[in-house]
Amino acid sequence: MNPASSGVFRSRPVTSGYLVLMPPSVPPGFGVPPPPRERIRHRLRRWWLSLGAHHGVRYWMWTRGLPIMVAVGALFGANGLVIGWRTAYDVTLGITSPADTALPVLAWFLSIVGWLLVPAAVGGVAGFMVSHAITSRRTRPAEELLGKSEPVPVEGEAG
Amino acid sequence: MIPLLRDLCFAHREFRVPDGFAVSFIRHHDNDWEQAEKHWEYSVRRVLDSKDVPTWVSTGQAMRIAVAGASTLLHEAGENGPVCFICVEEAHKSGRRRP
Repeated sequence: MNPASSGVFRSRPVTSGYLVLMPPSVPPGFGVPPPPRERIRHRLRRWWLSLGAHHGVRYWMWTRGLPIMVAVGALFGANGLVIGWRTAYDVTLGITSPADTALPVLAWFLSIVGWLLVPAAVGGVAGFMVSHAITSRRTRPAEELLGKSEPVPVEGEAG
Repeated sequence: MIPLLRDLCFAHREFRVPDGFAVSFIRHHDNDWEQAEKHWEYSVRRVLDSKDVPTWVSTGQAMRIAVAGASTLLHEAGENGPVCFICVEEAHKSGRRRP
């Protein structure tokens, strides 16, 4: 019997190619009202909280790296539009003084950010590679590496 | 992503939760879907941030472990149904604010 016609679901299913997509609903008798549609801000909250499933550098990139990159990109873009892209690049790397630009106030911010960001990025990559090489060994159980469900017997404990 | 409570009302091929957890969790919040959903997501996030989720598992496995762990913890915490620790915390906070 088709569940859509049996009254279990409140609205009609949507046919999409090979799939029949059932609308989210709770069958009657559960004693709860029908669920509301997920709003955009609630979906954003769920996405943000779901980032906790990531680990290590991927988690850091989503939660810290991405906001920093967006902020730096916006500052670089603003400088590029005002003082020119080549000058903005030179100011970021410390080749040109921000005082020699068309708008020194804005360029000073970019200069300070570049002064902080370049060594931090280089040090961060080097530090990650070294720490990964040091700590990546002996972090997983042997049964997972060998694909076994039973723990590996330890010599002296068996029998 | 963290599964919606409405999707956990039925048997889910990806996530394992105790039978009747989602509906009883919504009832526990006086049928307020939005508050129940919010507290459910915060609960899963706390499990994701705990040491109960191994660091070497993939993102999908981490989510499955956290969903199973959070739902089991919440469902079996109370004698007569689930307990929401976020609700308990909020009650404590609102109690402290009172003179």
